[in-house]
Amino acid sequence: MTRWSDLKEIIIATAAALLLVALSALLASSGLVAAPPPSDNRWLAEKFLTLTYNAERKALWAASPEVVTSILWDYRGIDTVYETSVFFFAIIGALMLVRSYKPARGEKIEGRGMSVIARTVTRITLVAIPVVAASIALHGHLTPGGGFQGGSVFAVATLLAIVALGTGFLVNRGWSKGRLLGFRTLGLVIIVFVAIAVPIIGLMDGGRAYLVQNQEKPWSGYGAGYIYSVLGLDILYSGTLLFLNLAEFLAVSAGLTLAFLVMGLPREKLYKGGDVE
Amino acid sequence: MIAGLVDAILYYLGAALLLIGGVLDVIAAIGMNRFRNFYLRLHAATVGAIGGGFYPLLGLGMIALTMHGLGETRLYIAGIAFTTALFLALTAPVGSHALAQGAHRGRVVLPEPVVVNKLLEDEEKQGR
Repeated sequence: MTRWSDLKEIIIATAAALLLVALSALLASSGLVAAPPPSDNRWLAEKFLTLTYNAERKALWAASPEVVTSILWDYRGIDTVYETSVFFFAIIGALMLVRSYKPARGEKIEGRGMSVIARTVTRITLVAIPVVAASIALHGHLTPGGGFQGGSVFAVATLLAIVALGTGFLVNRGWSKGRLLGFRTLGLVIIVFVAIAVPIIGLMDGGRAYLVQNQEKPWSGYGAGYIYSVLGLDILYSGTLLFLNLAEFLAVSAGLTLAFLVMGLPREKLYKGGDVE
Repeated sequence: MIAGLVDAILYYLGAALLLIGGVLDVIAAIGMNRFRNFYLRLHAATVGAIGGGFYPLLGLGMIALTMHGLGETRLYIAGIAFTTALFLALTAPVGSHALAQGAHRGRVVLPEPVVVNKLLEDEEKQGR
């Protein structure tokens, strides 16, 4: 390639870059790209924004500053419970594919994983990712995030471990099919328990309350509270939202980990079980 | 006086890092376009990840520290920027390493032109 063609390419690239800058400046100045937000929200958004954390109008509030979590676990709580059960059955479906593989007690799985470089850095990040996941799940009722998001982040850590350190890394440390299924089911049981706790309290009290009810309503005075005072500190836990987020975190992280673990099983294990020919 | 001096130093250092990051990103883009094969391009990609990702994040954190109008939020922004930079510096090289190793072990691409390839000899000796 000659010098001239190099120069030509550089000129073309510079011209393209300048054109891009000029176009973006034009778009930004004419208000096409960075359009200012509308001065009025749509009525539904306005309802949610003004009601979720409005302590002066507690009739329809969710006691959580995080609007999305309030919608997910309070205003349309039953829908989310249903979604969680759909996720549960999806994982069951994935497990059906390898149903004949029965891990023996104390069985070890050999796995080489990747090189020393990848293994070392994975071990470092393996500590950090669950911390981030837990903070996303525990702050789900305060900041954007929640149980599902936290669980998905946690599953990234296990996926990394499976890919970089080998499936044996988790399996040999006791992350068995049965235990993960147990944690998943425990999460779901907690969700169901929290969902029916308030109605049961209402029934025992002779009143009436809704499924997945979070805060007290004027016509149904049963709620899960929202402030926990300890050592002179008032901690906002937003009623059932914190518990539902934690249970969802448990269910999703265990479920996704289970799916990844099953996918990462060595082929000879699946041969022996008769799932793969 | 001292605080203002520290602020000024942080701000200009941060701005310089942002600028360096931009320049290195352009260099990485040119490299991606111009290098001949996969392994050389990987080199350009790492220049983009470290030079175009790590340095600007550090600079961003430094600039955020000087923005006193943001109140405590500036500390959050700086902390997140520094943490992200740290993990980027940790993981980006491993990513390219894993790509190169995978490509080499799978014989998808072989380095070319090559004078000596000890890795290939080792792998053939081990019968992989």
